Amino acid sequence: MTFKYREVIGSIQSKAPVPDGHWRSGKERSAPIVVEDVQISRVTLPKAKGGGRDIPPGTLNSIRKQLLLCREQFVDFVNCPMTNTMYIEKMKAKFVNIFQPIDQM
Amino acid sequence: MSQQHPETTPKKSPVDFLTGYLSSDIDFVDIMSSKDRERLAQRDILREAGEEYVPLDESTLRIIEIQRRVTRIPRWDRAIYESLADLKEKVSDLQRQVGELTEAVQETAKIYNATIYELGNSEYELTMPLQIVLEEDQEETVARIPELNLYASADTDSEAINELKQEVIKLYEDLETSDRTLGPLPESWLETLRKLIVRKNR
Repeated sequence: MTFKYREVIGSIQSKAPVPDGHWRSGKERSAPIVVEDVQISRVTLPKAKGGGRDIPPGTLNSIRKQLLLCREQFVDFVNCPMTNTMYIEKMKAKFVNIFQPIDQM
Repeated sequence: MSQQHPETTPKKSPVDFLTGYLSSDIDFVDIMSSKDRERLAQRDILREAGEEYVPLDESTLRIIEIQRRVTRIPRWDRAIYESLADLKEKVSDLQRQVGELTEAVQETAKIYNATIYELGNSEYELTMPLQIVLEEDQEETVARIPELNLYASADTDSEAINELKQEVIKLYEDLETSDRTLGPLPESWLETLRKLIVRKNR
């Protein structure tokens, strides 16, 4: 599992459900991951040492854990098959007791 | 007119009587069976061989033995060469594997624990020492707090630890001031942080 800084940062900024405008200032490196107004996690962008360079495995794994994804899901997340909607669905499935529809409670 | 008396005719001996039926020697040989002829021929060969037989002396026997050994050597040589080639291949394969393993070990991150006693912040302090995990690979060091799902990376240990301290404070402030519902993980992080961090008395 090897990814470049620009790939991972781009994927997080475009797919992770972070409150609107959070990344816009450019100062923030950490952001809450929010699904239906419930914060489920928090992600920290790596400090890019040149966007074209590979992210070292330690940092890459830490980001993956913050996104609450397994390796396979993380690869899908960065490589595009997983969209923002699909990510949100996965998180809802993970925390099913929180996001259960009211009529099923 | 003379009258020949039958009794005056000379009598034939039994041998003459028999030979009268045998026209030649060939006829005599021909009456032998083929097996008999073969046996006779073999007997003649053996007789001749027996007359010509001279036992081999010690030196000749030695020469013959050496010749036999010499003819055997190339077969052994080939087997030895094949085994050596096989061994050489296996050794080079092992060398390659050792090289790969050495490389992998060098690339594998060193993981160890460390304890931080303060947050390096004028506003907050720790109520108890905080265990962190440091993961050092060839390119960088990652400092992590698995319980809070926090990480910070930098070129050196101390830089990574300092970054992580700031992350702890940011997480605490974000969660304390958040007006959103907190999921189970952020909720437990906040609970942990409330036990760990207090505002400094001024």
